[in-house]
Order: sequence, then structure tokens, then C-alpha cells
Amino acid sequence: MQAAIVALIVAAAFVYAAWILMPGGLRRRLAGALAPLAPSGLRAKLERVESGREAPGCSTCKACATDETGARGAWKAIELRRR
Amino acid sequence: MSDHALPRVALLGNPNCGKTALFNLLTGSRQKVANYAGVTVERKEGLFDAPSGQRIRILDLPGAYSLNALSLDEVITRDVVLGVKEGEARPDLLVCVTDATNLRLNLRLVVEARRLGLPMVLALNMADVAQHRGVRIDLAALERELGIPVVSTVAIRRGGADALVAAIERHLPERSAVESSWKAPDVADVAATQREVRRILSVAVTDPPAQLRVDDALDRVFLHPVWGFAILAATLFLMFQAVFSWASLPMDWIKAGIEGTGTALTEWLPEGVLRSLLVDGIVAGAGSVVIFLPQILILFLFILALEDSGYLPRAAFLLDRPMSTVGLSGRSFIPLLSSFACAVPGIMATRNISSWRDRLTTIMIAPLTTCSARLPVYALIIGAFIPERTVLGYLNLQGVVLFALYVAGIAAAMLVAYAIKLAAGRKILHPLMMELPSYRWPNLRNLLLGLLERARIFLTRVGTIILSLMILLWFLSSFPAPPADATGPAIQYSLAGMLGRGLEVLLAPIGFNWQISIALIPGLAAREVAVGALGTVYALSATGEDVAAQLTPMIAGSWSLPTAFSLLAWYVFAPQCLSTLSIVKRETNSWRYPLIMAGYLFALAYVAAFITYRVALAMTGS
Repeated sequence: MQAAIVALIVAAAFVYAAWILMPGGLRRRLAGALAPLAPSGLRAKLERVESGREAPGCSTCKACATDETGARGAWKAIELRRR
Repeated sequence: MSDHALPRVALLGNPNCGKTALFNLLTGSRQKVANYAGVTVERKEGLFDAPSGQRIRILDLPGAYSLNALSLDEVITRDVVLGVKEGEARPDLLVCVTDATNLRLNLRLVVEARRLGLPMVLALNMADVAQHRGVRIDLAALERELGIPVVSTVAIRRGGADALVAAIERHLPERSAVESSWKAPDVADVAATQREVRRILSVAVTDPPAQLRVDDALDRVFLHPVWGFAILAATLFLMFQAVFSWASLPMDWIKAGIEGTGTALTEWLPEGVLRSLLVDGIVAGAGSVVIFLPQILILFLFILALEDSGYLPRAAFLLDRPMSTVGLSGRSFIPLLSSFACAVPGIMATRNISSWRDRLTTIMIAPLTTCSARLPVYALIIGAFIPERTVLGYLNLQGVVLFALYVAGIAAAMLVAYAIKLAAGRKILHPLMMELPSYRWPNLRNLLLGLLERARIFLTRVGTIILSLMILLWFLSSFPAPPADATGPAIQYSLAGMLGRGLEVLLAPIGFNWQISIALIPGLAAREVAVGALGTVYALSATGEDVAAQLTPMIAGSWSLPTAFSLLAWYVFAPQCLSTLSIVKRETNSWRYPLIMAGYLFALAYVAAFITYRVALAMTGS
């Protein structure tokens, strides 16, 4: 029983790591191929991956996503500096 | 009606004026994001419905300060507006988005665009913030002086663009037949534009003077050629001291929690593969990474506070001159600073560097700045080998060593930039032009939200990619099972053990044992995984059972001091994680540069580790 549970966990970890670490182009193509077969909730995610809206490579790091909604400082005049 | 037959509106504006927020507010989820053909500049187009039911296509143009383009973003914006961009129809209506708190800068582009003769609407975005700061804008006067309709918008509030939508619908022409012409401005044209902006401002806008006086007084200190650098160095030094001094208590709590979990699982589960996976793979592996959460949060507390206070652009301004001596400019500072969090957004931030050569140099050196994923590796080794004591009365020695490692990364980045400068020869100098925000106290809510976001990112990484790699490493370290007559720990006979011993041949000259050799491989996926990998490998190598979260004393007992220093030197240069290499490929549109990057970083890491190991061996007499 323990061996069966461990086998499932290891297989899931392998699929997940392979998905995250595979080249982006391959992942997008794979997502495009899998999307029609997936249930609706998962399909939306796969379509986002296919369209390239997911962050590249490291899917957990959203730091590269653009967000201009945050509060900004009060901008001052341009400063030119001579070298 | 097909989407292509719909009227087209384009959002034009300076970077950071809230243009994309306005675009998101108008289109919601009805948007398509792609790249402009052949370049890495993002193209965002969407649809929205006017109250009358009229459906309109809207394009979010890349941010631009002027139609006289200096960057790739500005070239694309100019070409689209002029209708000469291949595959892009000219917009029927331009919506000029401006930051209402800084019209002095933003109106320059509006005045330039007005000369094109295209139908235009001016959106005064962040109108609420401007009002709160005491900026008085006479909309009627502005409309009269510019000769175009003007509306106020608040892009971050639901309904904040209603007036704009109405104005767009009111002023959207039938398919425009206007022929716009444009010629690159000369110095006289630029001066005339500035005069026109000043004239309009004098008629329509009243700025509150007090804040600027305070800013100028502070800038005299923070941008001083001597005191400015001293304050910057002291701030960074304090930051690294705090990373070690403040984090010890919460780290002890997390460590105790992980130890307790490991012990409970050992007692609760019968001996077998599942218990080994949970205790040796997950708790010892992923748990040894989680411990470093407090240190990462303290580092980001400082970075977020400095960012929110308006100090960071000053630091970029201050560093422009020293960076120019190695062939960079202050423009590279923000991408390099972002790389202290993660090289991926740092490399993406280089898009704002107009010179391709400067941009490529910044991309190539960005991985040498110490990303937060390296912090757990440094902290582990420093914690194991550097005594926790004070020097010079009040300085934490571990913090001093951490500061030195960060300085080493910066120095290496500058040396590599200098080498590229020497190899590439003379270059055209681009003057630094940047916006300096007003100083303000960091907003506590912003700081807390920022820290929560960093904690979420870190814990998500631990719970996803790091956890999955730890499980796979445990599998590779546990199978095949050892033979019946085995004398050593089981891991020595496993796939990972065999791989580690094979790599040890290559890495022994720099002092790495087979356990370290194994840990370096999953560390390519994400650097902090190396710490988890060491946790799993040492847990499976140990004969005792209570090993979870005891990694620090274990490596302190089994590595020599030269090996520890060598691994630190390796990680100053360490070849990049796969995500960084993939983003370099995407940004440079070539495999050449990521391969060069991986090659030179690996060579530097090996040479630095070799020299460090040999020198340390000679000095310690090992």
C-alpha cells in the first residue's frame, strides 16, 4: 500500500516538474493539444498557457507580470546630468 | 461586423502614466497579448463596448516619452501612430493618457502628438491623486489651450473611465481620412515644444510648491557626490546586517516546527518507503528551504521600503557616473536592482534601455547580482561555518560576510561589464534622463502587501517546483535499493549516488564531495533547491533518524572550511537557473547569448571556486 501511494506521488511530481521545466514553445504546443480534451476549469488554464499569457519558465514567479495599478510617487521634472 | 472593421482607438502615453491600468479597466478580460512581429515588445489589443452599444478596438501602445524615438518601444509607438507600422492600421482616434500629477513631463508627448492632426482625446489619469496632492488643473483652460477634449480618469477605480468612454464615442470620427505627417524634431523644435508646455501649464495648472522644496533639500544630501554614496553604502550594509540579526528568532521557530513535524511523522508512520519519502524527502528537503523565509522577507522589507520612499531612482542617478566607467549607465541600475530579487524580471526590465549594446551588457551581467534564491544557500553555509559573534563592537560577523558576498557579486558584474566594454570598443553615449519621484514615507499597507506577496511567491515555489524536485531527488536517491551485503548508506548505491560520484571526479579539484555534486543538479532548476537537495541527501546519508532540519550542524561537521568557502565562491558566479537562460533566449531572440552566458558563468564559477579552495587549503594547512 505504501509503495502504491509513493508511486503515485512520484509520478505526479515527475509530471509537474516536467511541465514547468520543459521549453516554453513545447509547453505551449502541448497545452494547445491538451486543451480540447481537458475539463472546462483546466481548459482555461491550458488556453492561457497556449496563448503565452502565463509567466515564462518559472510559472510561480509573477514578478515579470506588468502591473501599473499600484500607487505611484509624485513625479518631478526630468533631470539631465552631464557626464 | 468582424473585429477588423471596428473603429480603432490607441492609448498613447509616457511609461508609468497608468495607461495599461486604463486599458485593463476598459477591456477587462477581452484582450489579446502578443508581441509585435520580430521584436520582443508586447502588443496588447482589446475590445470594449460604448454605452450606445458601439464596439471599439483599443490598442495599448508601448510607453513613450516622445515621438522622436530613443528606444525600441518608442519606435513602435511612433510607427503605429504614423500608420507606417507594417500590419498595423493607423488608429482612428488617439487617447493621450497623462499622469495628472506630472503634467510637466507628460504634456510634451501630447503637444508632439497634437501636431499630427489626428483626432485626439486627452485623459488626465490619476486625477484623484493629483487633487489629493493639491495640484489644481483647470480642465476648461487645458482644453482651450490644447484644442482637444480633456477628461479626468482614475484607472484603478471601477467606473473611473466612464467620462473617457463617453468622450471616445463622442469624438470618434467616421473612418479618418486625415493624412498625418511628421519629421524628426531638431533642437529648436524641442525647445519650442518645452516652451509650449510651460505656457500651457502656466495657464491651466497650479502646482503645490512645498513638496518640491523638501525634495530639493533632501536631494542635496542623497545625491551629494560624497554623502550620497556614503548613505547608499550604509543603507545596503544595514540591510545585510538586519538579514542575519533580526531573522534568528523566527527562523528558530520554523526550525522547531519542522523538527517537530519530522519527529511526529517518524513516530506515527510505520517504517517504509512512505515514511522515508515524507521525512527524508519532503520534510528534510523542502523544510530546509522554508527555514529561510524570514531572511528573505527582511531583505524585501528593505527593498520595498526604499522603493516606496522614492530613494531607488536617486540611487540609479547617483550610480550613473561610476557605472559609465565600466560601459553602463544609470539606466542599467533598475534592471540590476530587480535582479537582486530575481534575474527574470531584471532581464525583462532591460527593455527600457535604448542602446542595444548597453542592454545586452546589462542582460549578460544581471545573473551576477545576487538573486534572492541564492540567499538560502549563502545563509546555510554562513550559518554553519561563520561564528555568530560581533566584530568592531556591534557588527554581526555573519552579516558582514553576507554583505561581502553581495559586494563580490556586484564587483564581478562590473568587471564583466568592463571586459565587454574593452572588447566592444567605443560606444555612443546616451545621456541619462529619468523621472525622480517625490520622497515620501513608505506606506505600511504597501509594505505589508508587498511582503505578503513575496512570502506567497516563496512558499508557492517551495510547495510546487521545489517540493516536486525534492520528491524526484528522494526517488533517485533511494532506488535502486542497496545490495544485501552493502556496508555504506543506501544512497551510495542509488542512481543519484552514482551520478554524484561521477560528477565528483569533475568537482573534486574545487573541494566538492559527492553530496554537493548531487545538489548542484536540481539547483539548476531553482537555486534554493540546492539547499533542499542537500537536506534530502544528508538525511538519506545519515544513520540516525532525527535528521530533519539538522542540515546546518551536519554540513558543519562533514565539510572542511575550504570546501564551504569554495561553494560560496561557486554560488557568487553559479551558472544560471533554467528560467533565466530561457528568458535571455526570449529577449535576445537567439540561443547564442544564453549559451555564452551559461559558458562564461560556469567557467568563472569553476575558476573562482578552484582559487578559493586552493588558497583556503594553503591558509588553513588542511
